[in-house]
Amino acid sequence: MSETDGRTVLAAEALGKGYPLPSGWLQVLENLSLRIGAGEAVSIRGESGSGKSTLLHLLAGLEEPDRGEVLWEGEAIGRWSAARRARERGRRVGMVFQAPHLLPELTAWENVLLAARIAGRADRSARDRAAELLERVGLGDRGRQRPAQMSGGERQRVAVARALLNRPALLFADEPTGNLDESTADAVFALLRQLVLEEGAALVLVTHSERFAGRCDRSCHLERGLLAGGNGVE
Amino acid sequence: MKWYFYWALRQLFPAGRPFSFFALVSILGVALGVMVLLIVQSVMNGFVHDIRDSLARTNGDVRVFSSALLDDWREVAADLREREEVEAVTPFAQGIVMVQEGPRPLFPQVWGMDPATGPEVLPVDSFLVAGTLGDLDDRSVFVSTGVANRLGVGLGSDLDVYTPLMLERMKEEEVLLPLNLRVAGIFETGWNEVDRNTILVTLRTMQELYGLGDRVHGLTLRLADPGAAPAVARTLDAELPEPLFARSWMDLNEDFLFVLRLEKAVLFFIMIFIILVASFSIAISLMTTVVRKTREIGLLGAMGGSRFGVGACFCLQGLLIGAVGTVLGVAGALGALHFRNEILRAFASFTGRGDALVEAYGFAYLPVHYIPLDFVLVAGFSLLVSTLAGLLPAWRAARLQPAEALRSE
Ligand SMILES: Nc1ncnc2c1ncn2[C@@H]1O[C@H](COP(=O)(O)OP(=O)(O)OP(=O)(O)O)[C@@H](O)[C@H]1O
Ligand SMILES: [Mg+2]
Repeated sequence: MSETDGRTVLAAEALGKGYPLPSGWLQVLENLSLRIGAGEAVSIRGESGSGKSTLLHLLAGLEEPDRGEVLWEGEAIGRWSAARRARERGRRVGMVFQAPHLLPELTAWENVLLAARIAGRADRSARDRAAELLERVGLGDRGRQRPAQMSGGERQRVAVARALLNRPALLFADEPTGNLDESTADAVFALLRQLVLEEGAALVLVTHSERFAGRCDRSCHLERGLLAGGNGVE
Repeated sequence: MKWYFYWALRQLFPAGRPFSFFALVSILGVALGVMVLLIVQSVMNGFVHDIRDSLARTNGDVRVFSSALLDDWREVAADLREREEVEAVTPFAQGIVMVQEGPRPLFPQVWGMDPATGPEVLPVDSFLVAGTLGDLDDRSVFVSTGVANRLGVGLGSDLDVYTPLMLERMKEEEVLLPLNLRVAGIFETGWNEVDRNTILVTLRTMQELYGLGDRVHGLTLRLADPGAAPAVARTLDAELPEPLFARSWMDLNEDFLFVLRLEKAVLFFIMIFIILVASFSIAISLMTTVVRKTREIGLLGAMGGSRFGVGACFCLQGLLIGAVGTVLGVAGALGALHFRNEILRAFASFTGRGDALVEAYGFAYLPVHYIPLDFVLVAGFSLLVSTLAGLLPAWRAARLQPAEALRSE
């Protein structure tokens, strides 16, 4: 396995998260801990509703945990202001979701470059890198097309390129192939896996597919608010 | 370029299309509002300008009155002429007489004008529609178009002029015969009140009619700078000795000018609602965008976009729509005003009632007067309101939690 140089890029310590329900309280995550090394690929599986997306949102700083801490490269993100968290997320973290969520009024290339614009560094090299990433996801000649003119698989590949533009140390993917048919899903996953390897980014992949989970360095299972199996808890 | 400015621009001018339909409708709304408001204001200003113009022309810039009759008016006039802000001075006397031609009597205003200095102060020559200025002598009279029409007189007709002096004399058992004057000219000033019911005679005739001797009622002044009339009137009023006082044409018509200003303000207030309505359409279209793009907005948050940036993007769209709409509206208004007479003529020939228009309103063309401040006010208001219209959608967008936005279906 190609992973860890020993450095921890992402750590979660004793996370707890719940939501109020009309009839009480839903505890989604309970005392959950996790540690991911640089360049490591970890898959998370679990029943629908087990809290996989919630966990990903906490790890990405999109939601705040009720208890516990999330650390990016050793820094506790909960101590940052919301604005700082957003800024750091834009630079250090890439995200891919089930739907590509491309902006319809931008071309594919502009959508990829948007990541650099938000991070405030849409310079020459970012433009070149956007074109290069489109090339690497196999859409080198489609940069001028609008999302509406692309297939679902192609759009998801643009989303992958966008997530990697700022050379994040961490990539979160929430069922990135969930909307695609089997062969397209295979292709997109293979691409994602390969790019993450090449870029040296750590990958946290939420998936229902055993096959994809098997191709990660580590595989965990989320059940009753806790990560289990595949040496998920350290 | 900040990413939110970029996204705001791209939403208005998306890839692959020249513009967004939503934006186009909003822009047209603003442009129409601005255009209609400016056209109405400018034409209104044109009428007001014409009215003020003819008011100033028929009144003279400043008038000096005396509470008694003026007998040393020659000295006063000479002193006034010395001032550098005064270009010309002429004496005047005015009153009411009765004129009769056949069985119809009329009670017009009568103006006595010094034929030598009068035309230097008032553009009498340009008022004349028949006859020439030189024809006015002590046995002739100029009548306004209104008087000519109502009496049915023309050039060369004879008028009998009766004065209040006759009644005075009658008490002393003296009989004064009416003055027989020949119509030597017909004039029209453009100022309706004057044109309806005024006759003009020489100062000497007027003095004879009113038994003034050599005295006059006051002096009319033409200034080097007509715009300075109120200020000059104030200075003169303070500096002239007792029975004399000075009033500008604006002071003399204060009430009427106030009504004109009020009319304009009310019109502005009513028309401004067009722009307000347009701003509602901006707010609604942006609000729709926020709802439609909830997940994209969540994604921008996940990509590190700040709440401020997300909000700013929608506010900026309001501002941009307002700016483009305002520019188009101003351009449209200037274009329509420039071709207003062509448009009016086309409209008249289309309806086949061009003559009716002229008859009903007494004009064959539309006056227009551009006041830069009006343009600045309208443009500023439209920009402000469009930006405010973006605030509500902006606030909603900024309030979206990225995690919830991404979950929304
Ligand atoms: N804002 C919220 N308010 C209340 N309950 C919530 C909220 N967000 C998530 N939940 C609940 O938390 C639980 C976990 O949701 P989550 O989306 O993390 O599940 P998941 O494992 O990603 O499921 P799936 O595989 O279907 O995507 C669900 O039962 C969901 O109803
Ligand atoms: Mg989920």
